[in-house]
Amino acid sequence: MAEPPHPEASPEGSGAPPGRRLALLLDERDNVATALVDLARGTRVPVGGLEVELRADIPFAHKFALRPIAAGEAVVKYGETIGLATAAIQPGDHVHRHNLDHRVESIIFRMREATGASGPQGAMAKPAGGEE
Amino acid sequence: MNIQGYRRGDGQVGIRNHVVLLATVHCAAEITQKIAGLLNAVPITHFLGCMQPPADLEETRRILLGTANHPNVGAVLVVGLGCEQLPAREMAAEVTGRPVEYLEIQACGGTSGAVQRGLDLGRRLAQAASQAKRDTFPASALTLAVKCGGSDAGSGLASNPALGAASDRLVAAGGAVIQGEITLGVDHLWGQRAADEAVREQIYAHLDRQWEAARRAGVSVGETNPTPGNIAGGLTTLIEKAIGGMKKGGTGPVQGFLPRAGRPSGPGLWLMETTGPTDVFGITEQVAGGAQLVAFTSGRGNPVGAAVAPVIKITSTAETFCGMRDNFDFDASAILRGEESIPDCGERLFREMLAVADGKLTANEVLGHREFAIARRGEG
Repeated sequence: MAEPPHPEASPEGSGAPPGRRLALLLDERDNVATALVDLARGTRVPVGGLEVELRADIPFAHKFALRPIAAGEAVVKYGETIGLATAAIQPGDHVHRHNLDHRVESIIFRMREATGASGPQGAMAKPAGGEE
Repeated sequence: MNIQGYRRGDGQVGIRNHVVLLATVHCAAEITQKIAGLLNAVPITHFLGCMQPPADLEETRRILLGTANHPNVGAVLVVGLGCEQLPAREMAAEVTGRPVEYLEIQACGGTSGAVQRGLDLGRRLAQAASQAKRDTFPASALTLAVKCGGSDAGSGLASNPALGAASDRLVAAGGAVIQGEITLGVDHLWGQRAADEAVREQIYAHLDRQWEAARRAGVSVGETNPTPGNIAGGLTTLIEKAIGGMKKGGTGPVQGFLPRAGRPSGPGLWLMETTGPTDVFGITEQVAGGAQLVAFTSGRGNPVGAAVAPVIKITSTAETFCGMRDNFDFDASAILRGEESIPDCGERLFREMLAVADGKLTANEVLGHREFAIARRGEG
């Protein structure tokens, strides 16, 4: 299957094998992309029609921002909110536990209630150990 | 878009034509294995069938009958002891649409008598089943069970999304999909996709039992999941991890929430309460729900199959695919290399599913991986 090089193939000097795509965008609504190889800070990564210059080393399968994300704003992957930013995030920043709040129970419960079903039962009103 | 299959007397369409020897109780397991070995039939054995509380027994019965009445089964020999809670005669009476016989070990004079009787009955059943003819059916006759296990970074990024794309293709063709492993973290996304209010209530009730169990155990789900290994691998939040698992069933509306081994009553995506985390329990329950084939994404690699259904084993990691080459059927690693899009990979996987439906053997079938297991819940 001889295919032309992918339009988002690795640029020269990226350290990745030539022709290799560097990042995966799972949904066009996403504001983060996922590294397909270990990527070095400073690499210019073509993804989702953008070119993002990495502001940190991004290990394989880790996320980096495509656009500015304000503190408190949703981080979107798979087209869905996966959590809220805890600090202002710049394009090319590593997005992980240091700037994305992993305590997501309150988001899940709030969005559950928004689906219009019966309100949360006793079991979920107070998830143990959560700060909600 | 058609497949080749066997029309059963009850209207179901099978893609295999297995002769099954069904033990009703653990006491009959060894004799069932002996007879099945001599006949080259599929033995279904387990540790249950007696001394079980009522709800537990009913579930065992539903799983066993769901397996015996499975569309891929061409004939059934029920092997009982004679004094168990699930009598062989009663179980055989509930097998419909295919030839069935039963024997009871206590009435056959023990092991040698039961084996002799089993061979006699089994030979006739095998010959009766062998006369079933393959015919052409639309792909809408298929029910697919989707499963994941031993997840790695590629599971949520590549193999589950590709399987989801294939699931959507089958649903668009009028088929059904059974998805288990409905775990915490994407409650709201399932709720949004429920076909109606009653289904949404069932999904939330199932999830509330898990929240409640975590609360009783004093565990904060969001603090303990993702695990440290997941976090090192790049996963940050519970929602993110759970979406990676939910992707395997596609994007369609949820038609219903099934008990273990419950049967979908129509096409589309169905969720099932399954027993985890051991993979074989869940696969057994989904197949007993009538799925003629299984698609299993495995990150780390796993040889397990299913008793009466082919299992298409998928991985998105070239190292895993090559490392356990004889156990895998489908390599989705081109997604992570950036050489194939998720929809293209899903389409290729859907074509593989149709080929398997048409008779192409999967690795588990070739290698004789016919695992079957039922979990014991209550004490009797």
